[in-house]
Amino acid sequence: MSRKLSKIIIRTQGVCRDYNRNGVITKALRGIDLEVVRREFVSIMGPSGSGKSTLFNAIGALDTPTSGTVFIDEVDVAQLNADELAYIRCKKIGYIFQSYNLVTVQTCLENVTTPMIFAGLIDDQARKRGMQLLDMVGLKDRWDHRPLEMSGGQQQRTAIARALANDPSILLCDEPTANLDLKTGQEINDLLVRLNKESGATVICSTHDHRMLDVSDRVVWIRDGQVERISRREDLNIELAAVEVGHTP
Amino acid sequence: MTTKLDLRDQNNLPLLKQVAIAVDGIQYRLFRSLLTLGVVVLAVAFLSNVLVEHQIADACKTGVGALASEQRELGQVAVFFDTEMPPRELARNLAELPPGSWLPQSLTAWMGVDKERLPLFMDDCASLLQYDAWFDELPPGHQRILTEGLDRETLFAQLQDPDERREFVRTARMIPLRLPDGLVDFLPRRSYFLESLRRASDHFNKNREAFASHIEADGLAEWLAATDVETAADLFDAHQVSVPSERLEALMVRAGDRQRERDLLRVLREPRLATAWRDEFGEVFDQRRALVALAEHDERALWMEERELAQAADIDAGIAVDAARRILQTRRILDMDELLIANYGTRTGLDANMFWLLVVSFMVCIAGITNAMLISVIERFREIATMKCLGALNGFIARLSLIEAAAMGLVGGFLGVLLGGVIAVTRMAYAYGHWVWRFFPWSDLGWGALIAIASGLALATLSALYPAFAAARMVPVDAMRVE
Ligand SMILES: Nc1ncnc2c1ncn2[C@@H]1O[C@H](COP(=O)(O)OP(=O)(O)OP(=O)(O)O)[C@@H](O)[C@H]1O
Ligand SMILES: [Mg+2]
Repeated sequence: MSRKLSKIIIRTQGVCRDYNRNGVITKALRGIDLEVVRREFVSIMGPSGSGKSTLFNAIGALDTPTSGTVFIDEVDVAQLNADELAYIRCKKIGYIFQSYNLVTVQTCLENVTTPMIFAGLIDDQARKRGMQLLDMVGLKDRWDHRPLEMSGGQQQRTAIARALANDPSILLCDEPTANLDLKTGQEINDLLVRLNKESGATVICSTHDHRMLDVSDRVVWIRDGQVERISRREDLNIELAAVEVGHTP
Repeated sequence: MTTKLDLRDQNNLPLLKQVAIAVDGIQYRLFRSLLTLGVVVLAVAFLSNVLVEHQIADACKTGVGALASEQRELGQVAVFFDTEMPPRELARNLAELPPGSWLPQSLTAWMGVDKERLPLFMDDCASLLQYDAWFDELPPGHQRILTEGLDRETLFAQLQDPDERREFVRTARMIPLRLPDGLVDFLPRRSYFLESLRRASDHFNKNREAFASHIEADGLAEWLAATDVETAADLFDAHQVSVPSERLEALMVRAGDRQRERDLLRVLREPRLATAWRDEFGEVFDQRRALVALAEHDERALWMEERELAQAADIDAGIAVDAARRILQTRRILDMDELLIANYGTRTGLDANMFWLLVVSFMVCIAGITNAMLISVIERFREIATMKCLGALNGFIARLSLIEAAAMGLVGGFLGVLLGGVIAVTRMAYAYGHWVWRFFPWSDLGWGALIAIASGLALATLSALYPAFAAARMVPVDAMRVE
């Protein structure tokens, strides 16, 4: 292993996750071993039902794996108590969900500032930073709109601004563009890439979107809850061609 | 490798901010909030209704009870002092007061004496009467020797001088005579006592005299007597003064309808009025007819004394017995009134029915509010999960629900107290009539309202405990999956 330990920001060891629904056991993850390096842009690709969201939840400390361990910054997540988990979710990780998950009661700006308030920022600072973030995602003039008054793309951009609220070192995205049209999806992709380059956040992004492959440092292919293969950027063009051939009728 | 996490920053989310977030939520889900609020309002309304009715009923019972006994005593005092009273007669009345049977306040207020001195005063009255009686019982010869033709007033006045007294004692041994105990002690006080007595009597008669003199000065009395006797009677009644001239009084008594039968009683009791009667009408005042008329009258019979009732019985036993029965009945009704009012509610706390009603309704309220709060939490599962993903502490989530519930409890409690109070007052006003306003227990109700609001608050907060902590402990993913 050539990489230094400290450069690895997320590491999973044999992560398994069984869903038990009325005695029917679904093995959503069957032993995932994965390492993500700081500042890396990793895409997780796989067909529907392959376990992407399940992995996303496990990595993001939103769910407890049936077996196996998740390390974030070399800390075993399973060992943390509720308050420490809240701290990690608040400061270390920014989440972007497939269905945005904005708080409908709050305005755009309030959604963005909520994590800052949780992190102990005072109101004025939070508002100032919130407006900066909204400016960055191009929603400055929408700050007092409620989520339901905005388009899907705008909502997702709000969610991205919110994910960035506390300068997280990890951005976890679960199919951020799945509900958006091609053009808006592209905008979101560009935004993520820019964030990765500019603020140096580690981005882990599960997606069906093949355009994402161009910009990823690595692509993790998942099938039936297992890592099928991992391809690096250099090898991608060839593979991409193959994929596209494979998908073209 | 271990990492120390600095959790301190997270805990200082200001309460005001939390309240603001909670209130935002309430506003946004206004409809469901109103439902929850409704449950709280009903619960608190019920509680405060029970409390307020209890308090008002209690206040009315106590108030009317006290009033009834006070009225009765006042009535007695009024009868007692109904006639204009010369000082010595006042002294007799005072001396004959059975101790403790009169309302000291009304008596002292009436006479302008202070309360502490009243017993002393009454003692002096008794002494005076005793010595008067002693003098009256002396054989006429002794009286002559002792007083050398003086009346007893002058005799007692002279005895205040020590020399005179020594002389008196010397003479007394000659005749032979035993002085009553205490006479020598009483004598030095006597002139002061007589002065007080006169002032008391003056004070007592002042209002009436003022009015009477006013009438006399204007010649109004004569005019009234000549033209409109009934108006005159009403006037005197309204001002509670005795009629200034006996002639006028006799006129009024004769002209008066049954309403004036109390005046019959006066003529019956005062020989001088009977004389005026005879002079005026050229007929003898018919005592027998007056007695029967009095006994026949519903209210006036109540003013009759036992002796008079007995006299009436000699004339017409049936009517007198009826009157006696009415008197007894009225006394009983007065007591019954109290009893009825006392028994409308229970004086000593809640009865069993009320207790269980309260318990059951409390359970219903708790169930209702818990349910409403649960729905509120379930409704917000996604929101809560999202907040947890953003780093909200469990405590914050729990507090959010609790603050919401507390706000509901407070507002609902306030509205509930208003609702329950209004209903209770209306119902009580229907049951007790004007007594409710007369004895309205303001301060008690204030406490009751506080208690009801507090229990609304407690009820809502308690009911929200389970939902709040259930929400706080949820795993984010599980919560997010709920649609
Ligand atoms: N709560 C659950 N209970 C039972 N089975 C579940 C649950 N959530 C996911 N699964 C199963 O786990 C497997 C993986 O699901 P997951 O949501 O991770 O797939 P995915 O790769 O995210 O799919 P998609 O691309 O459609 O979002 C699926 O077979 C799904 O049926
Ligand atoms: Mg998924």
